[in-house]
Amino acid sequence: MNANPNVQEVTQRLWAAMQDVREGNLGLVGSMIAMIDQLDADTRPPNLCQFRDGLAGLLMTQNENFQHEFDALKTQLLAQQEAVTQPAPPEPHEATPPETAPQSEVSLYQRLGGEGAIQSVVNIFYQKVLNDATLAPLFSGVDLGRLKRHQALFLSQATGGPKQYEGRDLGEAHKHLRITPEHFNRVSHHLLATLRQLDVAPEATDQVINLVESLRQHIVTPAAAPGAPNAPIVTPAAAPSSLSAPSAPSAAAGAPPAEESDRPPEGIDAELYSEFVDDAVSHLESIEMNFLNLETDPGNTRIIDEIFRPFHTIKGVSGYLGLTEISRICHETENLLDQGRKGSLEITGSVSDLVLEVVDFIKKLLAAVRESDTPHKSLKRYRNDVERHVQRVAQVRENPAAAAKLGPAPAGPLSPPAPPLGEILVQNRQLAPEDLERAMAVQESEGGHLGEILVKERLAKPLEVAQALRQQQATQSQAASATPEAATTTVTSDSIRVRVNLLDRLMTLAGELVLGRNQLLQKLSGLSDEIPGLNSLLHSVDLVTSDLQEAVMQTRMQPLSGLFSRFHRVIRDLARALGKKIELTVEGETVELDKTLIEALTDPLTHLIRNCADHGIEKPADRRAKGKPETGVVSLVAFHEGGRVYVRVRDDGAGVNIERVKEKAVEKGLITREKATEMSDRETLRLLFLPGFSTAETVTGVSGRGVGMDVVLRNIQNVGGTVEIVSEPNKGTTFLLALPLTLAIIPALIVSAARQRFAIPQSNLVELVYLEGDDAENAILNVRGSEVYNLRGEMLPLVRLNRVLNVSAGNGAAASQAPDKASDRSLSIVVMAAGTSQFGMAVERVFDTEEIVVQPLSNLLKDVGVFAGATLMGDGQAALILDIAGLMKAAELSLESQGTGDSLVARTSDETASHEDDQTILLFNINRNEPMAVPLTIVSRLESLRMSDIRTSIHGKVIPYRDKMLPLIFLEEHSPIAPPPPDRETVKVLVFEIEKPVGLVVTEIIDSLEIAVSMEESSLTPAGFSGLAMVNGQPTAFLDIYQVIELAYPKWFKKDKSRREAEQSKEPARVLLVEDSGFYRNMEKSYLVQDGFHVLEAENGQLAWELMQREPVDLVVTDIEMPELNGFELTRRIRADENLRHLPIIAVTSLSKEEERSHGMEAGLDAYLIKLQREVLLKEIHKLLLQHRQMN
Amino acid sequence: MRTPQAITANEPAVRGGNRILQFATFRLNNEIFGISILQVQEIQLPQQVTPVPRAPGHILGLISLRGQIVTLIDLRRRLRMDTQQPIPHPYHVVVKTAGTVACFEVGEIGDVIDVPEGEFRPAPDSVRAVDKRFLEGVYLMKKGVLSILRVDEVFSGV
Repeated sequence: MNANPNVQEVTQRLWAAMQDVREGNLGLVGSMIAMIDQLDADTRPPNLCQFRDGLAGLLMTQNENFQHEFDALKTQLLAQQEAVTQPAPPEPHEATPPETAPQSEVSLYQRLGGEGAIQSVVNIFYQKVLNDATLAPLFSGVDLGRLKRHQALFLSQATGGPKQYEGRDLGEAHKHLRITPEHFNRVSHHLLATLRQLDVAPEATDQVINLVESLRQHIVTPAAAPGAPNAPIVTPAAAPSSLSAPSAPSAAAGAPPAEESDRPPEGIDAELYSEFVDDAVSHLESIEMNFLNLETDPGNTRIIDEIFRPFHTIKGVSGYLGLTEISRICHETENLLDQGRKGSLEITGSVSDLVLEVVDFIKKLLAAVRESDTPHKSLKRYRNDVERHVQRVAQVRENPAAAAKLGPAPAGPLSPPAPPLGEILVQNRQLAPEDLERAMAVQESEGGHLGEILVKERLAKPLEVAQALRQQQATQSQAASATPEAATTTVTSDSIRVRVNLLDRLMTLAGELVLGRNQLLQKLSGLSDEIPGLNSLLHSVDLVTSDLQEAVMQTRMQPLSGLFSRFHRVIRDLARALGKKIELTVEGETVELDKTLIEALTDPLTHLIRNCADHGIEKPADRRAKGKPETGVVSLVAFHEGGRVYVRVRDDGAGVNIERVKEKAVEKGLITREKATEMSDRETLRLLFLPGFSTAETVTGVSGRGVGMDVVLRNIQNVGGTVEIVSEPNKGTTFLLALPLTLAIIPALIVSAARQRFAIPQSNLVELVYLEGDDAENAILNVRGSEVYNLRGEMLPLVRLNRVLNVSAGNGAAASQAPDKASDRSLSIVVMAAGTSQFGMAVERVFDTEEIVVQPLSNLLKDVGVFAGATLMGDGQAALILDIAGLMKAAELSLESQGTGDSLVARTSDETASHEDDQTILLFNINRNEPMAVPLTIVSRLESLRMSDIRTSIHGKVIPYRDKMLPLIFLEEHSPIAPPPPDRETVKVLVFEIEKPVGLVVTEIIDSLEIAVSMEESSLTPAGFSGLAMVNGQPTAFLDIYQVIELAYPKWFKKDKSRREAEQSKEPARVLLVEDSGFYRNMEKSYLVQDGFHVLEAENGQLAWELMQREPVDLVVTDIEMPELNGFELTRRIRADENLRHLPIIAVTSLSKEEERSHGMEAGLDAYLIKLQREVLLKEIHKLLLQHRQMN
Repeated sequence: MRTPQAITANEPAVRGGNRILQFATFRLNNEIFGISILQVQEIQLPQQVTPVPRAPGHILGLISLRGQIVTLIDLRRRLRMDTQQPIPHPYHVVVKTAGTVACFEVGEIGDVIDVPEGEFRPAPDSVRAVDKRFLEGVYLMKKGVLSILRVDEVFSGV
């Protein structure tokens, strides 16, 4: 029994470990701490600080645990290793499946309850984080699923769960396994293919490659060192063939079959080789420089490190690419330099010369790789040279003194490669390339010499073959006698690496230049007559600038081929995993896109392709039954059209089952059944993009985990693109992605709010609506405190840009004058799409559409959340670009909060007022000089009507409204306020639903604002008002609508029996009103006082409790959320008190959650009501008081 | 434009075995602050500022620096100093920090001051007017106390 993990297992663990390193699992917690630390000390809430300290503790203990558990495991592993006796299992893939190292003691992981328990801990943790309004935004941009997974994984590992692993023990672990290079290559190729597929950063990939290579050193049995008995790599002794017999026909032959393993791993494209060569060349160039440095500072290990590193890197990558020759020479040189690093070898002149010579040699090999379509074959021709270099390097390493004797000159001229026989024949037009391929195929399957095969198969004449062989020989000797200079072919990289931020800077500058040019053209246009030649000069500046801008744009463009090529493999692997036959056809891979766009496209496209293979294409048997060919086709096409790039993914599979989608959507509560029946197919398909929607019957692990399509849509929309789906039953499904060419310059609509300009990306724009006069007033309805715009019968949520951005009114004079004209008589609404929803945004003004150059925002502003970037306007001032998704999120918060009066909207931090008093109020007037206000929450709708439409009936003034008569109140008839202007033609009506609808006629709606109200009661307050408060620097009267209704319609409220009885009892009941918000307290107090109660007030539960000890109370009306002692606690305390326990208690709150309600009932509340519903509150008070009296 | 000639970056000189660090100085509310001249990119007369709605209070807005959009912060607010006092002759100091360029407003620009390395002390408790997180230390000059700012901290995320 062998407890050693096999290679696959090890590689999987390695992958997991690398993943950890890459994702920085330890760092995750650390970065969260850092994030919190970055918050301003004064804005950081205490619960956040606790959370931070908790994290820090976690980090510390986990680190210790991790180390501890790790050491214990290592000891166990090593002990086991020693216990394993030879012989080892004959074949690695037959090795018994590995077990995770047994643990003699119960690990913390097990004590915790294993993976499930840890996962739920993590889930709960994030649930808490997300429920915290302060913390949630910090995580808004984070892929939470991934974070959770990694944290769970990290915790499992840190606490001693499975997947523990340490690279150093691998050598030991695999000592007795005979892992051949083939096995290893296959496995490591899978690993690297995965890396590529996951689009891992190049540095990370390099790291993995290096790790894999060092793994190879440890575990691959035939050691790479020369002289090892069963090394597959040809040593001089083992392969005397190729160079010593150049005249033999075999010289032209390809690799002997025994060396099949040296072929590249499948799926590597040519592009990878040229990338490798570019990289390697630039690496090698640094070496020469460093040798020069070393001469002035001999023995500096840092410099030796710099020389060492390129060899190490090149070795890793070439090993992966199967370029054994290069990796071998690098390996040997690396070993030599390693001794230099350790100080056991002095890197002297002769050693330097040798290494530099090796560098030249590697460059030559690289040149061969670049120029050949079959790099593996071409490299084989250098095999003997490789061996000679390897030997020399090894010699010097073993005996440094030998280096001096070797002298600077190479031991012999480098043998130049002889062109293969086949190539010569083709060049001489004596052999067709197809025939050569055929012959080589025969050679590969049957063996033998190429020349003989050519003659035997009658593909070439014997004479010609003989001639060609002579020609080959001649080239050989000619090249051999050539000068060394000629032999050292130079390879220069034909591309350079440029940092992306430099390109960004160039982009910005080019944009600036365009701007400057525009201004110049404008300024000078009038002078063309006075300055001869100016026009042509300007024209050429104009042209050059445009060209420059275009060229700079092109630097960021990349062909789609790199992205598209990976899907062949994705499809092949999927087809195999799913038991389907699928073919991928690709077109338009030369289409170029901005680098950032290609990056953004990668994940969505991968998802769609997988989706087509998984959900689209049917199993072969099903396809046969439908009369389709067994092999399904997924086609991937890219093309240009109308200034955009389209990418189309199409399958010829089953198509989307429309009925099934509807059913699922109804099941999941996304739509109602009625809605489902009337939905068009097109609309139904859009449902696929809703979050959490998946039609897969079973979760397949390939796709269909219910995440994906919404992410696809979001990712594409984030870069200004769109996604369309078309599906036909049994014909297939098509996804069409439309993308802008570049992200750096986008068309945008310029709008303004509070006189500041903002840019809206055109891709979010649906339409513009401009309303004037009456239309502007009629079109906006108020539904439950949120505004909606009636767009051709659709209710479009409306947000006001100035309000979302908190730039409303506030600015004194400008605000009080401007909005009257700008926003009252006309209204500009920008209709926008974000995700699957649309909304309207009211802006102050709409300017032109412009091409803007996008600049990223500084990190300092990344948390603001509503801006996607900034741009410079024509006048040189900066303007912010709106992030529509972020804006919507911000607006939704503020829309929700309108109902509760407890705002989540960020406040300008200048306002230190206690925010419990924040109110969304509607400002209006009847006479222009007297602003009035009413809480927006109690207004149901706003309507606009003509004075001429008003009718007089026996009930007073009414207006036809929704098939009924809406009673109207003219406040000036009942209250001593200034009369309205006599000439008004249209008026506004605030509609209240108080038992039944009633309308209050006013002259103008001024604004709706969220402000802190501190209301003063005054004997001067006219009838119908509850008090005065300063709003925007003006004294504003707050309306008491209940009082107003009673003034206008004294019999409006049908008082029930209990209430009449209560009113008849002489002594007024004493009601204790507990409320921390002064605003609500005043409002509620006025209701109670009007109804004849004696009202006692307390600001919180604690004060109420103290007051109740001193004063008699008949009933308590309390808020829930209060400082000191909240409503629940107060209730519990009352219920526990011998004397007070029977007291009726009513909670009035803005919390309307069901769980809160049941919580309250458990605590012993008699009723649970929503704030500012006067009638409901009064009825309840009367009812409870009556019950209470009857009981006593 | 009055660009103080003092702000020309020099190699750190060596005096008496100690490296000499150079600090550009400026005044804010009668306190003298210094930042390493190596971090100062340029000094500008105040530019037109585009405010950023919903941004934290110490962010004044965006300015355009020859085409590059740069964030302007209110240093006094960041340092939790009194923001009511007027700044008589404000300047915008553009600094390079943590890979980006940012900017803050200061009053009156002073000389470049040489400070031998290791001669500044931790900020004493008596320094109340300024949030000490942002101070590298203080250096006693003839004219008064020079508070040396940790520019990277001042501009680190919020």
